[in-house]
Parts: sequence; structure tokens; C-alpha cells
Amino acid sequence: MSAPSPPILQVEHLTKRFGGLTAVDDVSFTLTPGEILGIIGPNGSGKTTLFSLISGFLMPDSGVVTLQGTTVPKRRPAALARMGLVRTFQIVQPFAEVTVEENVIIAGLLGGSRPLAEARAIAEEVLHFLELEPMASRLAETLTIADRKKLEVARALACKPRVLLLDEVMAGLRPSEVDEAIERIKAIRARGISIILVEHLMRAVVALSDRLIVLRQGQVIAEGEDPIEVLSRHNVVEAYFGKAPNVARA
Amino acid sequence: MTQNAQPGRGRGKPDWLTVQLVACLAIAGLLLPVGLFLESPYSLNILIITVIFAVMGVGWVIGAGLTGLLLIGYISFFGVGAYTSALLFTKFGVSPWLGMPLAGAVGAGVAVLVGVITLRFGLREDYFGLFTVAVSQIFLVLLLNWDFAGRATGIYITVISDDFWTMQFVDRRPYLIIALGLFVAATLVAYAIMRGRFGLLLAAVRNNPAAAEALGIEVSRVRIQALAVSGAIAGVAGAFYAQFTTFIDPKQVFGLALNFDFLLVPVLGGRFSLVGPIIGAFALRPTKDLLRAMFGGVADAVFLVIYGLLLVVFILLLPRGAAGFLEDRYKSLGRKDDDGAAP
Repeated sequence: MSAPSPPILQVEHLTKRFGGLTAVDDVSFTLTPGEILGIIGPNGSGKTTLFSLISGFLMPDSGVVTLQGTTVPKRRPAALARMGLVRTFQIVQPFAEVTVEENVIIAGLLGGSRPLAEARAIAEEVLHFLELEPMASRLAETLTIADRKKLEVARALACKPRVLLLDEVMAGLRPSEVDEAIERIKAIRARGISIILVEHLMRAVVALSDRLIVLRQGQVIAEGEDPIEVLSRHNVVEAYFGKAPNVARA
Repeated sequence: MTQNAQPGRGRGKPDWLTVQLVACLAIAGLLLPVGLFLESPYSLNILIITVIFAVMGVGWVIGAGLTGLLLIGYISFFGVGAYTSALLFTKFGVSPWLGMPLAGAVGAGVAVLVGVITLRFGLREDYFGLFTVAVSQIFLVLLLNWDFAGRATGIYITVISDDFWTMQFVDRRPYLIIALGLFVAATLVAYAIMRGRFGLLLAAVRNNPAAAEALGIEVSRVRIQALAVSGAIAGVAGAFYAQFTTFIDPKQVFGLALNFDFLLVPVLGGRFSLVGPIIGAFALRPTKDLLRAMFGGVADAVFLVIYGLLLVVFILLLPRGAAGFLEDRYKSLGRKDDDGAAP
């Protein structure tokens, strides 16, 4: 292992309960600058809840999230976005009645902390980067699901984040579109943005992750730097497929 | 539906927001000579009230249409404005010219207070609307019991002679000029918001508050800022209304009847639009007066039933109001030619 650089994001002992269900159970990990951290797990293992805790949409019952060494005491999503931590949504959330370009310009304003001219310039660059220019003047609600996913990423990028949380941005894409998305995410990382990637698509996870964390019932059950090796661990396979029945061994 | 259209997108055709601004200014410019030549003071009074309804409509579009808030009790801001200016004038001799901006400040202050209480402290958005109605009724009860403000009797402003400084005119025509001035001012404010950065933030907040929050937009703060502008417009309108009608009482300026008349103007005209309020005001006021003239003598309830039915049908047919219909017409204008020319 190389010498660890100071983490850009540090998650310590995060726990969130919904009634009797512990959705996220004492989860800790770090994200180093320029890293892509993959988080996988079966449905209901707490991935999206974890995202919501980190991005301030949910308050944890206990635990601390530190962004570049500063703890945000009262974590509100807008404040975190301005500090450079931006998420996308698994279920895309476009501003439906304005155009694609306006969607990205709005994000470029970063809550009104940037002037309109600067936001326009950022939007132009991001639309070009993601090849969304042909759709720029269309209403967001008229886009295909693949383009909506792209728009979700475009808006996040227009915030110019340091940490980007991508929540299943490849779900529902065709194989060729997945290849394209993988290259784009690599290009985003090349810009110096650290990424946490929640994804079901193993091909993308393996291609992109520098490190992989596996969640099951809210707990980290495996972690490692070689995605293939992590995925083939006994307890990870078991989390996805259950225990192998005894008859099969006979 | 969007109002942040960029200039030039329509290939030479001015964008819809510009068209709306020009239409508003043209209507105001047209009403001035028409009103000044009106012989009957009755017609002139109706015209002035109609313009005030349009001003209130523009204010409501900013506070509710653009924010996505269910601002039902909008009349509170109007009522406090009316009382502020009327009390300052009758008790302390403060000119209504000063009273109007002060009333605007009070209207904005009350709006911010309502916004902070409901939005910052996490009252669910469905209850926001009910809360605003409750606030108007609280003001109603307070003023019914406040000796200084004349309790249920209200406040009379006696007009003795023409005096510019005290905004008192025996001939009603100067009031029309002031009302149109307020309408143009409110329209320009709304235009600036819709065209600029704040309009984009509002579009985000209205379309999807969670996504807006994720992109760094302080949703509550943006909404409270818009409410403040909206409350200021209503406060100024209320101050003018008090001076113009020369009489206000709590049941009138905090009453639900007038409140819903105010709300219908932008709802029918177009909740998200610049030109909607003036259209709505001119469609509603005469219709109501006409129906009242036709059926009012027979049975008061009949005309209200017909009025209500007309409103329901209209809202079902045109959910985005008259301005939404016009916007669609305008945007499809010449589109076929464009398609034909495109390769």
C-alpha cells in the first residue's frame, strides 16, 4: 500500500435507525482525494440511506462525517453542496418545466453564490463535456431516461464539487451507454473529483472502483482494493445469493 | 410555462416573457387615456379597483406562483398595509406617500415572519396554506378588538379638498394614475425576478425542492425572500386601497371574501405568468358585476353559484390560466414555417 494521503471525506460510526430497523449500522470509511470508492450491496442494504446521511438529507442517530477536516455541525444539504459535496438521486429529479440548459445553469449558480454569467459559462462547458448540447434547449421532462441520468450528473458537475456521490447513475442504461458512462466517470475523476459510486451493475463497479465496500443489512461486511477479489469472498457471495444448500455439496 | 426563456431562442421571435412585459405596459398605457375620459365616476372606480386587483395578482404570482407555495391567506399582507398607512395618516398626519412604502415594509415584515415560522421551523408545506389563512383571521380578531384602530368601526379618511400631499382627490382620476403606476412598478419587479438569477432559483425550488437543496439552494431562504417581495407589493396595494376607498374595517381588509377574489385573479389569469394578473382582473371584475346586475336582485346566492360554476369550468379547461393558453398559442406561432425551413 502507498502512503495514505489525508482523506477528503471521513465517515465515522454512522448509524441510522428507522423504528426497529437499523438501516445503517456503525459504518466507517474514508475517501482519499481522486479516488473512486464503490459501494455495493443487495437491495435494502442501506446504500441510499448512507448517501442521504452523508449528503445531509437525513440526520444520523450517531456518527460523524468530516469533509476536508471540517465537521459540519448542523448538516443541511445546501450548505454541504456549497462546501463541495454534491449528490445525484437514484430516481432522477430534473427541474421538469425548464430546459436542459437552464437545469444546468441553475446548478452552476450554486444556490446563488455565483453570478449568472459564470453559471452560464460553467453550464456551457458541462453540457459540452457530457455531449448534452443537442438537447440544451429541450424541456427536461422530454428527455429519455438515459439523458435524464446524464442531466443529473451534469447538474452535479456544474456545482464544481470536490466530492461527488453518484447513486445508480447507470441503472436502466443499454450496454453501449454503460461503456460510455464508465469512460465519462473516469474523465470526471481525471478532473480531480473524488467519487463515491453506488451501483448495481457489477461490470461498472469492477471497471471503476479503486476500492470497494460491501454493505449488508446496514453493516460493512467486506472492504478491499481489488474489486474482483472482494466480490468473490465467501460472505459477499452469501449476501447476494444466500447460503449454498447442503444438497448441492453432496 | 417556464419564464426564464433566453433571448433569441425563438429564432428572431421575441421570447414570451418580453412579449408579456410589452403587453402589460401597453395595457397600462391604454388604460390611462381610456380612464381619464371616463365620464361616470362609477366606471372609473371599477377600473381603479380592477387595476388594484391586478397589482395584488402580480404580488401573489411572485409569492405563490413562482415559489410553489400554497399562499392562501394573501390578504393579511394587504390588510396590515392598509391599516399601517391609514393609522399613520389619521392619527399622526403622516402623508400616504410615506405611508405606502412604510406599509410595504410592514407587509414584507409580516410575510417574512409567516415564512420563517412555517418554513424554517419545518411546518409541512400542506399546512402552510392553512396557516396563512389562520394568520389573516388572527389579524381580523386583533383589529376587531383594538380600540386605537377603531375596532369593528374601522377607519374613515375624510376627503375635504384636493391635496396632492395627502393623496386626496375629489375628482377620482389621479387615483387611476397612481394605481397604474403601482401596476407598472409591480410588473417591472416581477419581470426582473423572472428574467434574472433569482427567477432561476425560484424555478428550481418550485419544480423540485429536494433537488434544489442538493444543488446548494437554500430552499426556505429563497422562498422567504420571494414572500417578502410579495408581501411588500400587497402592503403598498393595501395602503393605496385605504386611501382610495377612504374607509377600511377589519372584516373587509382581512376578510376571506376579498381574499378569494384576490386569489382568483392570478389563478384564472395564469399563476406563473407576468400578463396573467391583468387578464384575470379584467376577466373577473366585469363578469362578477355583470352577473350581479343580472341575477343579484333575484337572489344573491344565484349569482354566486353561477360565478362559482364558471370558475370551476374555467380552471378545469385551462389549468395554467388564460396566460398559459396564450403562451402555447404564441409558441406554436410560426413553428410550422420553421420546421419547413429546417433540413
